[in-house]
Amino acid sequence: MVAYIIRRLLILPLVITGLFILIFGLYSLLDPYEKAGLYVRDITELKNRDINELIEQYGLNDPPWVQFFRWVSEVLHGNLGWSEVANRPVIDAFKRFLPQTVELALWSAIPIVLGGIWLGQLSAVKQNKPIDHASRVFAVVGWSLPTYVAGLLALFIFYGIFKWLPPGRLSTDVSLYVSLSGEFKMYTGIITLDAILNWNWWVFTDAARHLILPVLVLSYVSWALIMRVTRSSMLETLRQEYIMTARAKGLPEKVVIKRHARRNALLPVATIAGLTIAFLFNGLVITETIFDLPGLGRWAAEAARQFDIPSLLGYLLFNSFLIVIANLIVDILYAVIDPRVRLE
Amino acid sequence: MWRKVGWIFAAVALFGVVAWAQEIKNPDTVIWVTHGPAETCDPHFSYDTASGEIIFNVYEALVRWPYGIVDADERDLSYSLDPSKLQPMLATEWWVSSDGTVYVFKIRKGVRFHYVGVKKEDGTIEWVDYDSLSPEEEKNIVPGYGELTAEDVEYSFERGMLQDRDGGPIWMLLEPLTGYPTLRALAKAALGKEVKNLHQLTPDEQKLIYEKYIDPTVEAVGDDVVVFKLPKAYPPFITILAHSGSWSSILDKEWCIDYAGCWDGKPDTWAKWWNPGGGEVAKESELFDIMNGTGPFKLAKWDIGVEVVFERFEKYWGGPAKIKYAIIKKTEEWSDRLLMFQAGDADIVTVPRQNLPQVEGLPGVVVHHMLPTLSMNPVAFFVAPVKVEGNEFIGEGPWDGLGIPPDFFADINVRKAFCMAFDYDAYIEEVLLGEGYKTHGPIPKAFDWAYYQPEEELLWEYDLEKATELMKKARNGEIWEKGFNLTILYNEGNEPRRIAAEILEANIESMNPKFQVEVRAVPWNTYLSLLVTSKLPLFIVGWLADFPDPHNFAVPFVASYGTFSGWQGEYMVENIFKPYFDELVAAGMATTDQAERAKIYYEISKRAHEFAIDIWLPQAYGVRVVRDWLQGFPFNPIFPGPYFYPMYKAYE
Repeated sequence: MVAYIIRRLLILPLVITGLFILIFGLYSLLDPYEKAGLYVRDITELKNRDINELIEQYGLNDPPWVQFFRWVSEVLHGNLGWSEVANRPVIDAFKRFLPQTVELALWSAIPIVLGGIWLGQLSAVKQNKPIDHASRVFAVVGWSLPTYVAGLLALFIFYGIFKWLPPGRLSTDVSLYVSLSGEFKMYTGIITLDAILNWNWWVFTDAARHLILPVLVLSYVSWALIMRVTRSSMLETLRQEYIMTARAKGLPEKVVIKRHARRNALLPVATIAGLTIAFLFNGLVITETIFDLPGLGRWAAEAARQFDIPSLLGYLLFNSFLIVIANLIVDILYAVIDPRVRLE
Repeated sequence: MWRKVGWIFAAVALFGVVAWAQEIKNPDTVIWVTHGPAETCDPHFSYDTASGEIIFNVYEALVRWPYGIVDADERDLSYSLDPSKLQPMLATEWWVSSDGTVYVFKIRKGVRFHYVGVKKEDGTIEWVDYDSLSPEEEKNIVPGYGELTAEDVEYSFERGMLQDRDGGPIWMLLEPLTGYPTLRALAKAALGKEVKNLHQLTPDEQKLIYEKYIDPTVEAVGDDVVVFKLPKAYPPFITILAHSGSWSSILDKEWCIDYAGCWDGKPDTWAKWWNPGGGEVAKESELFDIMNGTGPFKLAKWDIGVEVVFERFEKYWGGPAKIKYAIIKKTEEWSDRLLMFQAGDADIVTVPRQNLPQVEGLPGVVVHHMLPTLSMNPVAFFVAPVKVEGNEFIGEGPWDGLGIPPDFFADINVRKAFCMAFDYDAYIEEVLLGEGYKTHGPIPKAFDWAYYQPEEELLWEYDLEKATELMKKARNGEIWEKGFNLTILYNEGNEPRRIAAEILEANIESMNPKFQVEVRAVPWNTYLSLLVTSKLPLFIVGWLADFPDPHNFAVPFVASYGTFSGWQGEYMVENIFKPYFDELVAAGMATTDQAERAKIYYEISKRAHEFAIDIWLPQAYGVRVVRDWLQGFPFNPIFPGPYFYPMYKAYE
């Protein structure tokens, strides 16, 4: 097992190198003045500045491989560079934006996985009955609905009309309390978790209230995949002979489903669920933007739009790491769930 | 029985609705929801509007502009941009010598900064919140540590000039006070050699520059007098000093040195603090995210790109603000801003012009239209000649009717025809939703003393017939015969520029089937690249005022060395800007007599029209959108953003 994990981790540098070469390849297509666009966002910034000096200062005229190796050398010295769009070092941008993204991803992962499995199981058990049709339609609508449409719609209804669930992280009074009172200690930057650690119910409920909509929207648009995989896997399992044997033994249907069918049907679901959560980080770009949540996704989107290379490379580094680790966890989970699978 | 119950329910519901409508959310906090992150809190590094919005509420200048009030119940536009109407701020009185080269300011006494230095028992100095000190504890404040003195004023300006970051705002201090636009240029003149990297200056060289060129420009005389000495008159100098949103903010010398680690005030060490972060990495300046001003608010929190929280300075010399907190919330998504504003979670909202109809008529919302602005944005600039090498926008080989000749806009008939082919009224209706005005040259209408009247004499009229006649004459009829194919680019996402280009496209093409105009969007960085390499035959950009003086507009638009005019090609520079404008621009700065200056700017406007140097697109009026409970919102078009001090929330 350990050897397997090490082997998989060794893939990481290869994946990252490939991604960086791709990004730098695209970057090399830009001329130095286009690259300078990152530093001159408005033309009036050239009031008293020579753009050629700027190009020289940042080495934007250097060949891409020179720029690439310069960056690699900096990274090896622990410096990921300056994020122009976040106006802070890339490493600081991670520190600032990661907790928000982790918070949203963590809270979303639970309903996405459990809700998807539950819907899939329900659909399979009640195959071709109205509840099966209804749950499939429900999930497919979510799958077809672009996140920004679902998000805006939800925001309009639950905040615009009913004023229940606002965007952002915290309400004004709670935010002022958290940041200025000195009574609330930030341990992790994940507000809900910090509220629990501070034993502060007021902050927790306010933060949770702000998370309901983005979590619901993310869950709804993600359910279809897990639901469909669970459903088909369940249906296949339910047709197996050992299920017939279990039924023939006179076991109650609930026990047949829970103990015998679901556990086996969950094998492919584990793969999909693991990757869904990993890819959730990418899906947060739109959700974070719509719900005004300052997370990694929003930052990365802005970096891509402005070709902020240090930010993009930093984000890619993080994302590649995340995907490789997620794959690894899925493989390990697979072995745990199904003893027939041997990683060695 | 049931009917009675029904009435009671109805009454309760109605009361509930009325009560809800009257309820003021967060009554002691004003929230402005807007977009665009700030770059820094350092007033000498800051040159972007978003940073100015923060600095403006925390730091103060020697003098300030008078403002009117435009809020829920009032529309008082009695602001002024006239330097003679400037009001005292950290200076109580001032005098200017008759030749305009000496400015003397008497500094306000008894003013404290937000943080003051108190002596601890072990003899060390601790910087503490002045508000937190009791009258007894105030006695422990070390003299000068957090107390405004003339020394602080001298230090503030000297620190600014010596820091002079690349691309920053300090040219506005260096140019009037030393005669050089940058510290590099000054060093070159002082040392007789070019030094690109001033970090390499020896202590002796630093001392020479400081003692000979920087120190004499601003001197503290005693505790409460500061004297500025200019090498020659610089009429807008006092308007530069009135800007507390950046370069003219007054810092506490002791706090800067002792707490923040800024320049230590010595004549031979300053190069270490010059051009922090290469002019780009704002974090490298010591005051990047810490502030200690004398203004009505303290910086309580700056979460970059997310929000800025200000807390009331209880012991503000002008009396505490009515609100306890002010928040600038950065929300890029318009729909979020709209919903927050509708729900009462924001009191002021920044609205893209095309979304204005969404807020008009909303309950509890007040929209003020037709507010004066101080910018020229956008303007369409003609380039002649365009760079030929690698330029896909002018066609290949000798001009044969495909593409355009590189000197297409060198012909005045073409330039005039383009000016007359633009439908100004359509632009005002379509882009500015009726809230715009025509203008005739580089001098904004807000400078009523320098704006030429009657304006009709210089305004271009949309007249396709006349435009057609001019095109027939251009290049002795060659253009009319052969036709052309012109590409107009705009940076994607900029709708006003797209529509302006499309208006030109439709009208130019309607003159002659051989005239083809293509409008194309490109990313901002591509647009910038093409612009600075003179590959765009016509570019559309805009200019915002640094300080309220026509000179700040004349230079970029008509001087041969101006930011925009300099990109308009060799023909335009050598044949128009140099011979017809440079002298006038210089003359505008050679006198402090406003009437005389006005005549010079009238002449600049006339020549801008005569040579048809640009298409002066209609300019937008400002709009302000607030909740109906917000009162005391100050207005002056030169303000970088809301000044929260006079604001409060109430129904009146």
